[in-house]
Amino acid sequence: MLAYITQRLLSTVVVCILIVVFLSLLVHFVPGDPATIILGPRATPELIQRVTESMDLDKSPVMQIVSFFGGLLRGDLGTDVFTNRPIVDIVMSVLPHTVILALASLLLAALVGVPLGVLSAVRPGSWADRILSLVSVTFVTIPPYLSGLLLLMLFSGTLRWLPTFGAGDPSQPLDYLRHMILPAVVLALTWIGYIARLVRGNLIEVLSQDHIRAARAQGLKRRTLLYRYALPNALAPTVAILGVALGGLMAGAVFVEIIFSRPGLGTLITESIQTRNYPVVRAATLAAALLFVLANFLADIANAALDPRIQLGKRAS
Amino acid sequence: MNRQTLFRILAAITLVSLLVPAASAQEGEEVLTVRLVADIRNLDPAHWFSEYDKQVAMPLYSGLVRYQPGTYETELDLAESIESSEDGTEIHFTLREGVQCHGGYGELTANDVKFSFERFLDPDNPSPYADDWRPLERVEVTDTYEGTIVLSSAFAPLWNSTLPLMAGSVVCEAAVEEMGAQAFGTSPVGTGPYMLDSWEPNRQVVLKRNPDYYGEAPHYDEIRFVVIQDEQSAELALQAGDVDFSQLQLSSLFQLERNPNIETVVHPNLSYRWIGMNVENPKLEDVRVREAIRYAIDVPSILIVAYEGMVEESHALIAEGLTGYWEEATRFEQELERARELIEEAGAQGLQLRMDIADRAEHRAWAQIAQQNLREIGIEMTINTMDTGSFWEIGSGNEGVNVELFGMNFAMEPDPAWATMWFTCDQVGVWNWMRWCNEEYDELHQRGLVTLDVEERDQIYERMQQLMEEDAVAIWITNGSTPHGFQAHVVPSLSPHGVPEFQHFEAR
Repeated sequence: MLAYITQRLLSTVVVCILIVVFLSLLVHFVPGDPATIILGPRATPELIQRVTESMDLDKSPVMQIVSFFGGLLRGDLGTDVFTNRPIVDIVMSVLPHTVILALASLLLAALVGVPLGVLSAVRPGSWADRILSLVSVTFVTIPPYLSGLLLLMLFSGTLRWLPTFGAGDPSQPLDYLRHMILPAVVLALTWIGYIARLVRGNLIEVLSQDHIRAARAQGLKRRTLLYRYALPNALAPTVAILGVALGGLMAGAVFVEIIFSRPGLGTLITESIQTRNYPVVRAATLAAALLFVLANFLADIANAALDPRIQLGKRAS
Repeated sequence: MNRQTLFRILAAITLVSLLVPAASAQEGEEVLTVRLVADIRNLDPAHWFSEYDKQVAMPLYSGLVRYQPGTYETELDLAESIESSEDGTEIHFTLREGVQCHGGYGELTANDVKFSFERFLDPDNPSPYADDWRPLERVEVTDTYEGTIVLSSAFAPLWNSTLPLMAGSVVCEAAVEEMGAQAFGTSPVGTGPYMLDSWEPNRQVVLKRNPDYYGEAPHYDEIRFVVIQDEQSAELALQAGDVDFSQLQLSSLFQLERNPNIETVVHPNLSYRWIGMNVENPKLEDVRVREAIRYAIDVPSILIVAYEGMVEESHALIAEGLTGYWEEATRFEQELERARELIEEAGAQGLQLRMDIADRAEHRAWAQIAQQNLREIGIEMTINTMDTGSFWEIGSGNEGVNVELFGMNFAMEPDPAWATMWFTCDQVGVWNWMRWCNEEYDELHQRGLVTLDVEERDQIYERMQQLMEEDAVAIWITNGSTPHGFQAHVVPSLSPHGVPEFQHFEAR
């Protein structure tokens, strides 16, 4: 286990370095001088130079990387050229919104997707199974941008049950929750479909295995058999996929945050790309990558806890 | 009561609570909720970045003078009197007494005015808007409430776009000194009718009415700017009543005009949009070729395709309503036969051209129409669509010679000098991508800056536009328009070119 954790930490460091190297090189390949774009046509060459220096863009890619990691170790990623706020503060102020949204969507996806999968699996080929399969595939294929607008039009525009924009006031939990319902549903839809399909497939496979048949022959109740013996086995691969799902949910959050005008890593990254604010892009992308790695790591641990056959250290080696 | 019933009751209470909006303003307070297309970044008058910074900042500050609501006519604001010397180089002002800075930073004095204006030229903290105060030598403080702005030469834009707008906003020196210029951008302190209450990045900016405001109190107790980037979401928020006022897309107007609770208003814009022709490029150096292109391109069709026919065509550089607007500019219409003759005269049959555009829907529409039009006179034109960052580089330096045709939008302030400044000879290789250099134009631009007589200025700028027209360097498309939508209970105030003046908004 310790070896596994060490290895994952090392791979996380490698991932971070690769991301920072990639983003530092990208600045040099993307045409257009960021300082000129930020300051507009009326800026003097001296001011452009000053902003270039403040963004470290006058340094070579190698020096930029060294400077970035030096700052990272000190917990200081510099100051935003637009707002003069510490970049760490900017990222940390939006990070919780994205994490909470992704986790809420994940929970919703699991709470809805697993029962749908079970319902389909217990009577494969039935009308219920076919309808649920159709629903699942629809959920998987509908892009979040489209489902977001449709739900927004229905629940906020027409019925006026839910707010049309924003994240609500974090100091008022119910208000915050109200603002999260639609974004979380939109973000979860795709994964509800995936999880339902995955659980259905795994459960059908487990239910056809010898030990289940033997247990059924011994007269074990169908309900006990399903929930106590078959489902935990079928869920193990689902838990593994949840780590990937969390990464996918964070990617999807980019669209959802824009449609619902929520603060978050997605809106921060897109806005920073549009304004060529590379130091913020770099820090926010790194935060997203770390979340992704962490989610996969936690999924592996959970998977090992659910399935004693998996030994993390050995598997990793 | 069993556990199941209790659970159902709790679930019902939670559901109802979720569907009932939380009260966010104090009861009885009038709140104006405004959609902001992008979050603010810096509200310092010397260091703002975007149009949205400006819209949020304007109600926070006062200047010596200000525009009367909905006009470009100025009236006294912080100044009790203001007078210019005959040659326009000394502007003497007397301040109102007893004007208080927000946040308890004390009474505003002439020292604050001096500090506010001179900081634009501070070499230690250069402002991108130093041009607004280009000829400023100093501000002399003669008394607690009196002073003189001393200029090296007369400066006509001072009265149109410097003093009544952001560059003329007076900040409170004590606040800037205390928090530092860096922090001031997000914690601004002025003397305007509103003061900054809170800023939650990427979420909202809240302004509260200034209880110590010296002038007539604004109607709304609070202005809440909420960030909504997506156009469809903004439209829905307006229809749902979650937003009181929003900038819109032209395409949204048709839908919203059918909603009895929503009113819409469309103002012409100040920005100018054109297809430029690089006169230094060998393919376009013959004026007859450029004239042929001007005769070939059907601007009314462009307006229908790109703007659904909801904007006015422009015929010269300066927008209607500004000093220097040239009413007699030639209204070119598509004349394909004339265009073909000119191409033949110039011996330019079989010409192949390229139009560079930024990846924007409106520019794609321009280019596609132009491509069709030019084909009809035997010119094959390719369209080179680029991301914005790459596009902004193409005209720079000597590489700019390679530019042929390009589509462009420039924003400007309400003074003609901010339009003509980009087409002088020293801007070739910078922002003058037509690389058109005309000495008379340059000389007139300099004269326009120092001429205070409005009629004389009109003539100067008309002549400059005439010179551009004679050399056929541009095909003017439109000044665009700024559509806004608002709840029927709101009475908005907008500048003649559609810039919201939130401090003057009223309720019906």
